[in-house]
Amino acid sequence: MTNLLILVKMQLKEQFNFKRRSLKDISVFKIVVSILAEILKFALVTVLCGAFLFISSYLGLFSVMNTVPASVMSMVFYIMLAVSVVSCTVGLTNSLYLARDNAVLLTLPCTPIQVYLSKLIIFFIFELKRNLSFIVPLFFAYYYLSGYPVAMYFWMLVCAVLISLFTVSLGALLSIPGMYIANMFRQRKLLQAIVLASAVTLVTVALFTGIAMIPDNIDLVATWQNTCRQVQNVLAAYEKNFAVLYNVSKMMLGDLDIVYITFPVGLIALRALAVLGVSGALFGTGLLCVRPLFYKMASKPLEHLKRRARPHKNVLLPPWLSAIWAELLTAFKSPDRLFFNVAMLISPSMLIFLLNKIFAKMDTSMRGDNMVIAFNILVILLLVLNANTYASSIYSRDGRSSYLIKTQPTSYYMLLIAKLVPTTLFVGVSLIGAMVIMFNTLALPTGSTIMLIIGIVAVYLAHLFFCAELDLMNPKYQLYASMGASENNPNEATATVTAFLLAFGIAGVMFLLMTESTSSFVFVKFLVVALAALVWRSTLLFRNIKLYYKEK
Amino acid sequence: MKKSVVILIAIIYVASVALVNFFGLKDKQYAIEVDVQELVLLNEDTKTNSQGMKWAEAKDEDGDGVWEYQLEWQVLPENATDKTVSITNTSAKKDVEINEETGLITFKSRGVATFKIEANGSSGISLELMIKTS
Repeated sequence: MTNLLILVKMQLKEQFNFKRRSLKDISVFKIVVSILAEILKFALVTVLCGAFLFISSYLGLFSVMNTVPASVMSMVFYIMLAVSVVSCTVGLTNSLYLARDNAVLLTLPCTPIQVYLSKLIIFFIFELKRNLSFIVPLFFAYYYLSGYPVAMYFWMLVCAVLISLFTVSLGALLSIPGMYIANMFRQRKLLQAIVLASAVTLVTVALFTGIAMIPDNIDLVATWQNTCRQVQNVLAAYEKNFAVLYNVSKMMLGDLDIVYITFPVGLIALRALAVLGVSGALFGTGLLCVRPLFYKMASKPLEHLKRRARPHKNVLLPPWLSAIWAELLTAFKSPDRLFFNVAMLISPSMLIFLLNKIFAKMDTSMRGDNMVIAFNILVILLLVLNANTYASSIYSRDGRSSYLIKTQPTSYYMLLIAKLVPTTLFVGVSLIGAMVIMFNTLALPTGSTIMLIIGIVAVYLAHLFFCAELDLMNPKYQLYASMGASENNPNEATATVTAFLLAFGIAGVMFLLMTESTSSFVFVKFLVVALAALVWRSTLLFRNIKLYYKEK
Repeated sequence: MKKSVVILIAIIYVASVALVNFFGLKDKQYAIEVDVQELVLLNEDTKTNSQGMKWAEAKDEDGDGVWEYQLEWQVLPENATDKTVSITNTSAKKDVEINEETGLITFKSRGVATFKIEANGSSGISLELMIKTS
């Protein structure tokens, strides 16, 4: 037990990036500020969820009684649970079997199962934190609007623990075949190509099916009653066809149709026990399966399992091309990076195509046309700028090998910029695709569309250099050295926040400018400002590279 | 990309459709339908018989055994929404051709036929004309 606690503390320290300092060095003010920030974030999410639920009940979207039925919360909960299970499975597969720290942890004086359990505990803590960030505030908002008793709020915290237990237990069990599937993927390029091609085909078919289903003359206000009726029919069908799932979710919603919240006894307690029992069974099954296998699965270096490569002549390339080629090979050989890059290649074009097809079915005014263009800009920027989150940890991901950049007999610029090339290539091609789609679907002159896309590319590159600079000046090698991946990189959080602020800011300003002036000069202004921002950020990046890698 | 970021982008995507739909549509102007008030027969060669029924003569100008009569009419008011008419043969004589677009009535043999010219739409305005071969 002591070993287990030590393992958990060690990994928590790495994940939360606790600095090695004694308690007296930590300012009380900083602790209070961080606690207040968390409370504020919780309150903000609760208020936003509450606002959405209030507006939807006022408009009678989910029920003619102007309330939010419990089936809505049940559906949302299960959608979030499904997403959590998938991300938990993927995360646990990486953390349990593919993390670099296994090589260190398994050599410590503890049993492999203690290492397994410590990783599960860490994942449980993060899963609980995630549930406290969204699911709990959502239910708190629902309780407040529906007049639930105060005790239910505390009960929800208990339910959050049970849900996290269930998710992690299921994820741990699914990670066992997940590891073998991941291993199979790594070794068989043909399988990767087939799955990728199938996924792209499926998405394309779904897209065109969706477009064919778009009704003519979309007018939500005129057809509001019809829309509400259809939503209510879906909810009724969910209650009828998924009665078991709906019943289990009443653990958090109470039995309103019998007695006003029977808590915490009776059916609610039974459901909670059922969830606990199922979680226990899943956890036990996972533990039984993993016990004889974990050491072998976690310790075998997977990169050595590949088939023998055919020897070929080594071609001498120029240093800059060699650096770029190495990064491209890494991008293609790593399955999750490849899938991410392909997703970035197709998603902006497809989403913009679908969005504009929907907008084309509306009879928009001039203000509506400007809104359509602004939302096109917003969606494209949100996608491409959030793809830069990877760049904010691109140098840190080398972990303890990061110093190798300084040992290469070539300029640092080439090596550092080469790391940014693969994702940039994919995003660049996807932006060209988005431009072609905008030519065909938006009522914009050709010149304006070209200026808009070049401006978006410039903003993307400027943000990319900003994210790379964040990682350069404040690297988090320790985070990636031990875990191989990190949930808690402050650079990634900064990159995400700036991506959202930039996307909303640019879309908002463009909408205002287009409202005031109908000429194409708006796009010229945007292009000029975007190019100026690109020049500024690239200058800063190169200057900081020169400073950071200066040889004494 | 983190799961929360993907969800947020999806929410913004859906919200954009709703926002354009609520704030960006053209103001609807519901068209006022103008009904037909009167149908006027413009043919000057019509006569009225003792029963008050209008009648006219179809002529066989080519001598080929086919009698033709060109109907001309006017729909009032000028801004009526639907100015089309339908022409129906209400008599027992069957070998008569009617061209509703041009108003040309063609008799394949001698005889008399009664025609009802009715305005399409909801007004129900109509007039009758008896045509006999010369």
